[in-house]
Amino acid sequence: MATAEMLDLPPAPVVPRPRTLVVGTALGCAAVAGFFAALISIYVGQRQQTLGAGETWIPSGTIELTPGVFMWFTSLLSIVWMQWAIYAIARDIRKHAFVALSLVAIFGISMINQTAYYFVDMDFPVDTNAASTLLYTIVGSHMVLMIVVVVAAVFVGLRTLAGNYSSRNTDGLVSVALIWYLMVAIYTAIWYIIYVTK
Amino acid sequence: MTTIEAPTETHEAISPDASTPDADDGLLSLLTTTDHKMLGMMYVRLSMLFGVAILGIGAVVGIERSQPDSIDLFGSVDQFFQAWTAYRVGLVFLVVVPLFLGLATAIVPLQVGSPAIAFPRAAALGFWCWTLGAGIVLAGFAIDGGVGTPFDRSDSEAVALTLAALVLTVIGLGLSTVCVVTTVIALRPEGMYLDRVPVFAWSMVIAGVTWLVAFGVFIGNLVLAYVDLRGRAPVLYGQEQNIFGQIQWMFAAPQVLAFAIPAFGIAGDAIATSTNQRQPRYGVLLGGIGALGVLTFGAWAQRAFQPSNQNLTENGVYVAQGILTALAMLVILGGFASAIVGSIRNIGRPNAWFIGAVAGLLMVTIAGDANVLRVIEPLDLIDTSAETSVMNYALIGALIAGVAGVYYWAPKFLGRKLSGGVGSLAMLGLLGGTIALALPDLISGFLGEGQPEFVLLGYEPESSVESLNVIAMIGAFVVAGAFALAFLDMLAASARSSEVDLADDPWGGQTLEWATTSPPPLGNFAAPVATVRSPQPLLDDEAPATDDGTEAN
Repeated sequence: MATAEMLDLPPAPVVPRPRTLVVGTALGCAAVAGFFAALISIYVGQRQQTLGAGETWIPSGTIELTPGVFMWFTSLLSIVWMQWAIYAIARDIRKHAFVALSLVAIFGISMINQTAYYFVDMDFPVDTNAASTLLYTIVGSHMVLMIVVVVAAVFVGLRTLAGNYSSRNTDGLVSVALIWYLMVAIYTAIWYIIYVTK
Repeated sequence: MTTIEAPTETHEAISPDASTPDADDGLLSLLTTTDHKMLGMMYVRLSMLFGVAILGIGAVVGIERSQPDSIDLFGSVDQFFQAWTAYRVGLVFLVVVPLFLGLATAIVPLQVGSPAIAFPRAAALGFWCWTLGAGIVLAGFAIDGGVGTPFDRSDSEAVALTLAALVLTVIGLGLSTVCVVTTVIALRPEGMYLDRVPVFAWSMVIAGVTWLVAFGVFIGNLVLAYVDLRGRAPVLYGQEQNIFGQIQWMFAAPQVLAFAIPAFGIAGDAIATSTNQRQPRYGVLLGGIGALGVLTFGAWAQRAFQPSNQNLTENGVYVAQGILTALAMLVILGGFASAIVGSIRNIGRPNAWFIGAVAGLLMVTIAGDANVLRVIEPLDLIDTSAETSVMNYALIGALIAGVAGVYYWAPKFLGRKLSGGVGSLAMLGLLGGTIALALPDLISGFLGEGQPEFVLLGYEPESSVESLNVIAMIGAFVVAGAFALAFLDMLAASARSSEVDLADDPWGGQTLEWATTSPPPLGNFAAPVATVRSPQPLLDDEAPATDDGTEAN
């Protein structure tokens, strides 16, 4: 009886969400973008100056290109999984969203692993010259942030599975996606400016 | 009627019947509070305490500068440099920015009719990060650290500590900024479109976005220096003589003018209240402040980004930025002036906060104008004491406006009015002191006085410059004294018992913070905020507004 009465009720009104988390995350992303833009700009300026003076910047053979290319493709592919998570939660398919976020986290872990491999493989001590200091600062900062974002992706994935997010409230997923896309964009800049053109 | 859905974490604890926690509730409530009014009050008190110390350091630096060849207060050039940089770093990150953020944390949610600040726990974390970081920054300077010295004679471990603490300080300020800006963008009530947001809240959005990007760049500079400095001989960025040069852009125009943007917001709200009129051409005012946000972004103008040996005055963008900033400031000032002149009869005997708001506005606008002189190449004022002049006009002008904001909004976050007489004296002292402090440095710049290099190179200033430096020193003492007076007035008011009969709107304000009790209850408003129909919702019952914010009849 009670169930029948409940079914007769009109649908609940859509609650307008202020999207505070998304706005706050976007503002945080602006600061992170400023951080990396500054460091990469200093890298480019210093490189121009050093090469212009006829000095060595990064010795040839220091950075292998292959791991960087794989990392870049890995990061590009992770965008697809992240977008899948957004797509799934917009349709209330929580399990798919969780699986997609888990894949994103695994891709992130593999990127961290590849960066760690670079650090071991490069044989380029941090106090060699300005290039080494900048390289380790930029790549190291990116790796630290990537660890934070992977943890955030796992956390949001678990909350999604637990039912905290749905098509009526996608803020957590959209926020993680926003940071993730920024991390991929920064990695693209690192890959081209540091790993490819050195 | 409007309903506002705040995030669960902010909404569940809100009860209109609950009272605002008070310091009497004990230390635990201070440490664990997420009430934005309480956090704002703690920000304001601590930043003003730091302000007394930092302005005192500035006055001592002024003594040394007045007679560099005969006075030796610091013992070495390096220690003088540490004090000189402590004044700059402290004024921005320990005083001006946190004072504005404290006011904004307390007042902006009320202005936009929100029951709480966005991310209240992050706001608390931001405050405590700032407090811890600021304390360690001061300790770093005190134990022979700081942000490097010209002759590499400070303790490198202490320098590393200072840099790390500065990162923590800026992260704390950044977190608070995100909370304030998000509150304005996401938690407004129905009808309060962005062009109807109160001027102070709008100025915090514009300033906040500019600050956040600049903070990111600044942290990049600091982390790079720290990585290079820590644990081994630095290669380049961590070498002590190079550190301050990398972050100097933060304390020079145009970036330093960005820290003064909220001064326009405080002036806007204070002038409108004092004149008891709707601000004419409200959209132009908001647009002008928005333009300042773009024009004062100065992170790009740091030397690390410039091709070697290029003078900034040869950069067309830099020069245009300086000129357009001054123009935008003059447009805003003109709008305020027309509002004051048009309603001069309504003002009567001006309140302390009105004097302070106008004085701060004038000083910041002069900073913008003095910067035009600085960026014009033939005058050759880059790297002269004119840089210090522009900085002092901007930052102390902003400080005056901040103190005016404390006097204006004290009923809301202290639950008490401050003394009008003491306030007026403090405002006039700050105004006179700022002129005496900053104007001589501008003139000295024309006479060729450099930045602290005049001490480093054993430069003996001309007698006219020496006289100007003495005036600047007196100005520094007056500023420190007047600021300390305002601080003591606030402490004395806090020590008094609450004014039980304090009116909700003792000044005749026009924005939503004056629609609730003084101090407001936890949850800010006893009832949901009604649909907003103009930028001055409290005047709407008296005279309906048209879409452009002017009165209909």
